Amino acid sequence: MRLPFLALLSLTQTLLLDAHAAEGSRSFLEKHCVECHDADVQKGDLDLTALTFDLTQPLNFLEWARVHDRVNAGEMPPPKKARPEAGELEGFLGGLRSQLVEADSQRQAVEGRTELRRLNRVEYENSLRDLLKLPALAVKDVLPADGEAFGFAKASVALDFSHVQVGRFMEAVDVALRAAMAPSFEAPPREKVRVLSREMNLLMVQIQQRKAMPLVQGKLDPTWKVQPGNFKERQAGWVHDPPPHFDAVGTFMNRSERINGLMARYSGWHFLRVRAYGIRWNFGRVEPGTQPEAVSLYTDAGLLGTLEIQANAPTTREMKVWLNAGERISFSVASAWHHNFNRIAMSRKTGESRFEGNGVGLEWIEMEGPIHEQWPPASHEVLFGDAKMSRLPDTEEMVKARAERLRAQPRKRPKDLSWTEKLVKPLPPDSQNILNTRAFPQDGPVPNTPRDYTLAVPQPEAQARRLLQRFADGACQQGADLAPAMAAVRSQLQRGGDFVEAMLDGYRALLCSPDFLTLREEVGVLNDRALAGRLSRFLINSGPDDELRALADQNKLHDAETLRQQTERLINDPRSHRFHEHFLDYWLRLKDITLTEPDEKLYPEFSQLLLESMVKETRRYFAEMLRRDLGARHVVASDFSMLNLPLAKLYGVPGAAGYEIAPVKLQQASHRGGFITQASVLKVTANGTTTSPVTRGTWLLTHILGTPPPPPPPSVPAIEPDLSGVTTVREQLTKHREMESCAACHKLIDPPGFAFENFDVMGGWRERYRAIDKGDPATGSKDGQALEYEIALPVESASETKDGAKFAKIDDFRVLLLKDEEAIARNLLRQLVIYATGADVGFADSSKLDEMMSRLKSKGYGVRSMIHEIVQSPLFRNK
Amino acid sequence: MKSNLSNRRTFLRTTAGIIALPWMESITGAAESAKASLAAAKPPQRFVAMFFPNGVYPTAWQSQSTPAGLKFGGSLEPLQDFAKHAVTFDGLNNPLTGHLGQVAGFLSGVDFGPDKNGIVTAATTLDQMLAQRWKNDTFIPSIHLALEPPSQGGFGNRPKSYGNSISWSSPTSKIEPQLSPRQAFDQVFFGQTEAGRLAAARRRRIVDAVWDQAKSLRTRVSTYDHAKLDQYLDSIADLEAKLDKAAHPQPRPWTPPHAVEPQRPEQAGIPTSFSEHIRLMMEIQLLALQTDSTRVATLVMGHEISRVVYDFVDKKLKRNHHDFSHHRNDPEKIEGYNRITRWFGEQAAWLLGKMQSIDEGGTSLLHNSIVLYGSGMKDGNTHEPLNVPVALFGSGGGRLKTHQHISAPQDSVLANLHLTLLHSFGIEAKNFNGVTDKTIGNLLA
Repeated sequence: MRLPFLALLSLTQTLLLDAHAAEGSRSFLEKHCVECHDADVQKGDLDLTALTFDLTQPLNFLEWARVHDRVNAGEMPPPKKARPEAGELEGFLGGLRSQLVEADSQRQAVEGRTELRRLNRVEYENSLRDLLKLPALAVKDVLPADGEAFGFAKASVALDFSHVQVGRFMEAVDVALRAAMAPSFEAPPREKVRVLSREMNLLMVQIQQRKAMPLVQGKLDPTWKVQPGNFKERQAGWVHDPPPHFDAVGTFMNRSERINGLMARYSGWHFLRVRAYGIRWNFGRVEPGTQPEAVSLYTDAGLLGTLEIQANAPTTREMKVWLNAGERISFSVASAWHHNFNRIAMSRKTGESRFEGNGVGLEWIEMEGPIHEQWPPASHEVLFGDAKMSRLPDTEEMVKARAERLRAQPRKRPKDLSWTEKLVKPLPPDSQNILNTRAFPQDGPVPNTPRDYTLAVPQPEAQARRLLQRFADGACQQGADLAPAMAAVRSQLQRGGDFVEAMLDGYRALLCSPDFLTLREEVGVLNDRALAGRLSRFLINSGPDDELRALADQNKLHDAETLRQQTERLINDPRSHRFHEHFLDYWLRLKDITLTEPDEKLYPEFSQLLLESMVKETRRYFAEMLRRDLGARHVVASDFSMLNLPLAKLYGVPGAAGYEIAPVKLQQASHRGGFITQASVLKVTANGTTTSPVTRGTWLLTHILGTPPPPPPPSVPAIEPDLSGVTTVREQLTKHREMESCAACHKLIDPPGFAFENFDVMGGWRERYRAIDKGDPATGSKDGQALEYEIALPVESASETKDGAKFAKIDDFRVLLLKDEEAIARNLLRQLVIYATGADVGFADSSKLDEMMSRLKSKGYGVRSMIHEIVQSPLFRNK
Repeated sequence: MKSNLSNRRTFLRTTAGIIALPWMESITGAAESAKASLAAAKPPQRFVAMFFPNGVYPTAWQSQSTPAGLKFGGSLEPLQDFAKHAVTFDGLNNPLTGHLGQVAGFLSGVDFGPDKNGIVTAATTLDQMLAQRWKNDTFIPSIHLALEPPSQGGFGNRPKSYGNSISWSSPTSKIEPQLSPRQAFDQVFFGQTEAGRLAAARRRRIVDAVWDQAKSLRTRVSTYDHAKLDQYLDSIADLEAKLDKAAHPQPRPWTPPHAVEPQRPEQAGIPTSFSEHIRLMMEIQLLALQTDSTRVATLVMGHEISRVVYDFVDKKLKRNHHDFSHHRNDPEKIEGYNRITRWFGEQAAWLLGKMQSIDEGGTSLLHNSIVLYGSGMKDGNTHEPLNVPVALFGSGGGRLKTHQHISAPQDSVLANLHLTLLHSFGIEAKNFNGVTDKTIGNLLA
């Protein structure tokens, strides 16, 4: 509401800006701001008349920083009001900015940019893996999820302590220590177990249901007879296999199924081997395979690896993986299309086969291990040095535990299956057996497996101190106070515990103490140890290795050239994949990739293998950018990507050969290039069923350009996507264009979103939307079955940017985006700074960023150069 | 505090999993007079919340008073056998914002959203008020189970992930429900085994050792880093108290009369079959309640805005649940919607049947509990906040007048019900989260 001029004058007396505020501020605010932002109106909850000017108070600083940012962005005064003259605006902004920079710099000089923080759970896991020499140790999921601040889990405010957190750290330590110590006096026997396909109960059931086929020398077994049972009448079926007996099973299920007989009895490295060949099934006939296939092996904890199988000629492929005792192997034909054969494989009435598709003829799967290079293992020596093991006499508990372990995984082969026998046993009619009667397995934080050895040590306390000191030197950033660990050791020894128990308690105390869990840094220039820690957490997401620590101890690390060399070394280190993963998980939100699953009916071609591949693509692409020092341009555009067969098929791009990720040249017509058109990114910005231009537009503005739009007003309802295909999301968003209050922000957000509309929820290109009904039936088939979705309305991707530049599709939108190369580069640089230091780029830091940007310009804003710039800058080298 | 528990564990086996209920041992050592009063102790009251998402089509939630008693229709039909134990309502409203508000406020009556500083606040929920009151009486204060992981992305300016939980332990702490049956089981039972107690005692000693060091460290860091270290120290102190309690459990006044043999789920991960998953979770809830490991349990049977496709219930159900709930008056979609809601009713019926069959010394677990079954909205098509579907089963040990239908007075909200329930559990609160001070008449016995 308009106040009379006189009233305005009287208001000026009540502005609380004291002498600290710049003179230009007062008159600017009175003229352009107070009308709406006074005590009566308080637009946006801001009352400038009540706002003091005391930038030493953090909340006050934040308020004035917000005032600066909104005026700087042109959002305030709002478009409807009179614009300030350019000189007046600059004067106000310049004056305010210099005061903010001054206040920020003063604060940094006293407090530093960053605050004391704990390790996040990924850093924690990696540190333990490196310290204990257990590359596959899994403790991350024992810990609660970390918070986020400034987009990453590297800032103090995101990483809380609570009793839950500390309790879980203690659980994680137990898991790690149990995995590290030798499980038994003798090395567990290295065994080989081969399960033939004919011995896999799961495949036998599939064969009976006509979902899998018995094969002899690559062809359908001619002498095979099967009688499927009748579940309703509790009639068991049977199988008759006269010679020639089948030697492989053709299987087509893209779903992980557990294999009885393949359970790891002991923890350790194992070889897993698969012998198989690719085949094709064509409505009842086995035909030669035409492409390589992929077989994936899993445990309950997740994917172990994927093996590529050639077509037609049986080959053996192997992988080396760490398995924990009790873990059981599942496998799936990852490259087959259909994961849910139940309904379609065979006609119940006629028994004829109803599908066609690719799969594998599986001969056998084998597990060999555990493989120990030395006994006791290296991890045991990290904990206990060379203390001599001596065997304890057997107790009843030990004998029982050993027998239990053998019983849990029988190695005896079942009978030969070449006779008539009931294979399907009917279930008891009212089975209440919902939970299986298994003992607690030997993995995870479980009751003690009795230890059958002890360690003989002449001077336990002195030895304990030596071992703990050695460990702490590697584990704790600023050295460690061993008093609590030694107290724990002594306490255990006094209770009659042996050296092993005493050391374990000592390590528990050490690994739960703030010396290990928190990263202490002194204000000002970081000392060498802190610098080593920062560098290794930046580039390999773990604690410093021996070389870095040695340089730090000799006080040589802070030398610019040494620092540069170490940066190069770590960028090239194989462990740098941890940096790529952790950084991209947060920057591009890949950590959310499994939160939704594309609807099965609408997107039947989505598969687990595709999901795994698309994440690998993005990580390898980033690695390639680092390797070749490619610039920020490549965030948005490129003439190559890192693909394998499933991805190439999704993108419609030729040139991929197998299931390994490799560089593939992109043609213009593919619409692909940069991160922004990679399937992983397009999937995390969709919700499994529909895409939203608002979500994707916001993502681009926030993560790529670094200009996040303001949130919507509180009472705006979300739009319900129309899966029936009658209206497109674009039509539903018309209010964004029609209503002025919406348009202000949405002319920024929607256009990029529209450019992305040609990509569906898993990153495939579309010219028309898929819908459940009310469209044209989809052409093509899946495994010989009709597709269950329809093709509906056309995608309209054409739009114009806020500056009025028009574009038709992503390809020309990309050209417009590249004009903003500097903004993209600056944002990427900023993200790396936040990741590397755990604090955002504040007012006092902007000028340093400007300097870095001007030096990077001549290098095309290459990512590798960015990292060097950051490591050498005071942002990184000071607290 | 020294434990006076006997050292002989006659029937504890850590592998097969029979739980040595600690209070059973304590009772053998108690005096005769104490024994008599202990035997006369009543079974404790329990609270169970079973939540289903996306509401229900209005005509599929029917409860009519007839001379023969309550007659259920629509998705309540599968629960007809439990009509005698039931109280149904109409006229309870849940006027909170859309899907996310209606689920976060289902047990609190208060919406959630970011405050001025961007911190998301809601309010403490009914189940947590009870859990905090009873936390010293059971091994764990409450268990929270769910079936669907949280959705990503935003709904307006609010994160969709807030649609997966109906429990808040404070205005700023949403409780993440457990999705893995095995982890849920371990949460409840591992600490109650001898091995679990020994582990707790050992940790307590370690925490002791670390405490002093952490305190001295505080003097060596700058003042600006004190805040984080203080957080660490507070956590250690809290943990110490919990470990103390776990290592030396106190004797309880009441024992479940029948020993139970809980068996740990074999698979570490989440079952691929949704129906198997929900069964496992309900089993674990039952075990936790009947062993008195906890007295508060919630089950979120689907994420609000659920994306589950229920084609394992009926092959014709091809859309996901949320899609069906936005039926736009299409009869085919309404049919699918109803079929799914009915399935939830069937699951609740299974649980109630089990609870009824568990004898606690003359009364059933169902009789001693109050099970709140319902959803945060009525017709999912419009996120209808009026007359939301909620029903109570069980009487909390005779505290409720069951086998009736109550028409709540105009402008009643769920908070009116929650306030009344607090009274039924013996908590004489004056108001519920500041929302209301009126209770539902005729509900308490």
